[in-house]
Amino acid sequence: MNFIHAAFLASGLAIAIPWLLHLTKKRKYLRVRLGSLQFLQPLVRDRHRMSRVEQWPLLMARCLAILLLALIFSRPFFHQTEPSSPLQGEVLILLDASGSITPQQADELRAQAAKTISSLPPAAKPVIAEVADRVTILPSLDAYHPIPGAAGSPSTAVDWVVDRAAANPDVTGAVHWFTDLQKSQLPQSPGRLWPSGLPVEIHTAAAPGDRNASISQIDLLTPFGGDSWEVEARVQVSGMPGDQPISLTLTTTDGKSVQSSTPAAGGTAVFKWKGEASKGLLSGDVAITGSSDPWPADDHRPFAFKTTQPIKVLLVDGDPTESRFTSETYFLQKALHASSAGKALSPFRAEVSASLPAPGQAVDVIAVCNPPGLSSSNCRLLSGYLEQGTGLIICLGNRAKATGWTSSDAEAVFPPGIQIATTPALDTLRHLDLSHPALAGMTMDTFSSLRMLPLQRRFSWPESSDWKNVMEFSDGSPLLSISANRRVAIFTHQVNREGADLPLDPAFVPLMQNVFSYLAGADHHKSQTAVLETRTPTLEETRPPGFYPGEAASVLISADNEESDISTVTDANFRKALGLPAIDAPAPEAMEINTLKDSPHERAGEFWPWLVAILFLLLAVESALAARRNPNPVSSPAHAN
Amino acid sequence: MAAAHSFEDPHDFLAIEDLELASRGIVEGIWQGLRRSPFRGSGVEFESHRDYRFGDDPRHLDTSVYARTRRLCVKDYRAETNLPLYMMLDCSGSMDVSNGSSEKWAYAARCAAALGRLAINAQDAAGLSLLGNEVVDHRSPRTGRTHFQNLLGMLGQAKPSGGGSLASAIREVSGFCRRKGVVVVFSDFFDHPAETVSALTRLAAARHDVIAFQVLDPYELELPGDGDLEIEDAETGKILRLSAADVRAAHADAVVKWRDDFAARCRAVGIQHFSVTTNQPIAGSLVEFLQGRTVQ
Repeated sequence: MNFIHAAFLASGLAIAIPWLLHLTKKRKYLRVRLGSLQFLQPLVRDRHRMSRVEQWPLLMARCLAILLLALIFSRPFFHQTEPSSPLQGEVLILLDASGSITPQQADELRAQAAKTISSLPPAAKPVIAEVADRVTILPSLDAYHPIPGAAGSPSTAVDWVVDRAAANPDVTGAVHWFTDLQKSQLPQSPGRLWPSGLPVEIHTAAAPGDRNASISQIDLLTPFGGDSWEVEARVQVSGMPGDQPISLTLTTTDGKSVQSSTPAAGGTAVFKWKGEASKGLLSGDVAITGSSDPWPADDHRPFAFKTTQPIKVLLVDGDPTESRFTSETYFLQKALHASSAGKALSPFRAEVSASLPAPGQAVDVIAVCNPPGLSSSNCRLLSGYLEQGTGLIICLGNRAKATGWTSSDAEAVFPPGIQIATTPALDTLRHLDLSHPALAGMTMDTFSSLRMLPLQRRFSWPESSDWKNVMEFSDGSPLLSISANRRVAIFTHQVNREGADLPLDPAFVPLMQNVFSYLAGADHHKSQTAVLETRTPTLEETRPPGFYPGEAASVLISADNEESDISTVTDANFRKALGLPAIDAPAPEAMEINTLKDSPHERAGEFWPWLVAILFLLLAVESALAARRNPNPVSSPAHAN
Repeated sequence: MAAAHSFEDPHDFLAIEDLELASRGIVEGIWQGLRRSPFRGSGVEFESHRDYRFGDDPRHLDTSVYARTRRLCVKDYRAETNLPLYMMLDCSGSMDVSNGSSEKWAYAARCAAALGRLAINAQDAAGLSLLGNEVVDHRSPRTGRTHFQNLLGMLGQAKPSGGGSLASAIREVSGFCRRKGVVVVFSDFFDHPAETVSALTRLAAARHDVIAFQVLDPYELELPGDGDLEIEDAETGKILRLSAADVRAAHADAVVKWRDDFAARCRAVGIQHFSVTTNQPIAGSLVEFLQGRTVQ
């Protein structure tokens, strides 16, 4: 029997208290004088001074109650597991099957495991299991094969051992763990409590090399490349650095091959090439050229990126004579090409033109900036583009003339009855319809500065059900109006620095990008490729790293990055990180098997509740004994008979 | 004053220090309880004639009967009732037991005083002996009020104390009891019963009418309560601590058995045994005692 709080046993010394009380207790005696004691003496034992303790049963009951209390607080328990030697019952053989185990190491560990199993006593029952992302029991050692690129999880192995030992009391032998003591997969601190009294022996196989270069990450820098791509690959080197640069080869699925390199200590390499992405998916493989380290699984990494066609925008400069750097088209182009993503380019490809495009060009959005007016032919041309799905935005400015908007075909591209003020009035933005798709994703905070900006109000037209004012001035005049039937937007303010210096407002770029995305019908540009799922090799996913396209979902399997770190720890640190018992340490202090089912504050084998029940019984007995001692009042002789 | 009290109430007589008054009251109480004198009257009383036999005293020949019938007859007289009363009181320490309002010695003294008064009133002689380890004091039986006063004085001054062998004291005092009489021994008879009965038997063999008048304290028959008791031996002073609950029943059984055994021993040798406890009315006890004698 052991105790969780053995110090409480000292409180058992308190049994001296009832002893002292019983010894010093001055009992009240009624003095009675009788003619002779000859009848009483045989009935009553002579009391010696030394045995002045009255009521031995009561004293014993009280002492026992105190001892029981001390025992209860010390929380005694019985060991449920026997010391490790001699080995009996199940012996767990854990084999590391993660990607850091090379085939040579696997052979060596397999041989060690076989030797260990053969040296077990006949009563031992070896259970062979391999450990990667999870633990799987193997029928034999021959079934043990590390998975290239698979992640290892020593914590998972510990959990498995703990659960198995808790569920199966037959696990009384040792645990033999065959691993490479890799550092990268160890947890920061031990997880669950290792079963008490269950020793673990670590068997290692030295790594066949001291250096491992791996490709840890591949990023597409130009998701909207269209036909011009940039891919960045990150190379990490674990162990001893080499002295030669690391050559890399990128090979696309359609056979394109691009070379690049990193320094010997690793780094990033960028691959650039031109080509089409098949079905909106750019896929291929980056490999270390001429790699000779013992871990080939991480020497190449497949990639597959969903691509999106850029939005082609044609910015038609309504005043070509204006300086290029002051015209509306300049600022619009800048706004559209601005990118908030890290290295990704803007989805827009904006070109400036001095005139309207000829019919049939592949354009997603045409922006006509500050035209004096639109003739019928212009309108017919633009209507043609609208018919083929192109979006149109007309940015009105100071060059707009009142008579330039009265053509018979004007209704197709701009609201009827445009009225142009001779002198623009200063006004501010008052109304925003954030529910309109053209402003999707934008908030009032985005427009906080724009709402304070004094803008030039020049244009107005009668309300019409065909046109929705998404942004309005304080008098209801439109700042941005969008057609309800076609992808046409009218912006009634100059988009250069004249007047309100609108391009410098923080809302300008997101506003223009949102509106142009809406006009381009951005949903049409989304990739139609299947769902792309990324995985690492596991005990279940045994396919080697690569890209596996499918109808419903494509799978990208690449080696686990942490397994590429071949740095190791010592046996002692390995044990310490996982909470395993030390090599030569005696059986750890009595901590019972702890599982997810057990309360962390309870130990198996505790029997204090039984002691409490006994204590209650004892207190009942003590009460009964004490009640017997309650003296009755003595009656007078007249009533004695 | 004493006559005004009911004889059912023993405590009043015990409370009366003056034995003269107490005894008078008790006797009056006794008279109330008895229909005739417990003691027969003094004097010779003719009972019947019988034929003369050789050896009879010629002085007892009835000449008138001879004159009438020419038969020689002698007068036969009733047995003499003027028997002296020898009262022997145990004044050893065991009689000095007083629990509550009952006192063994006082009770026995008052009984003796009352019996003595009865005897004196009946013109009988009464004597008193105080017995301890030996005869402490002795007054031979006499008649007369003055003698009775002396007896009361003896009782009043006596204090029970010390140990004693009642048997040896009885044997010693029996030498003073030359005349046949009634011997009443007042004691608790805790002393060796066999020896005591033997001594009493010796008295009975001397043609005395011996009565063992046993006086006990109620606690000597049954321990009080169920609590803790500190029992003091009145004779030796020895202390015994016990729990009444533990020994109560066994003690009562032992005492009853001892008393019954003593009574049986007495009866076996023709000694009367009468036992009272001090919580019983004195007068009632004596009435019962005397009625028992009358029935005999």
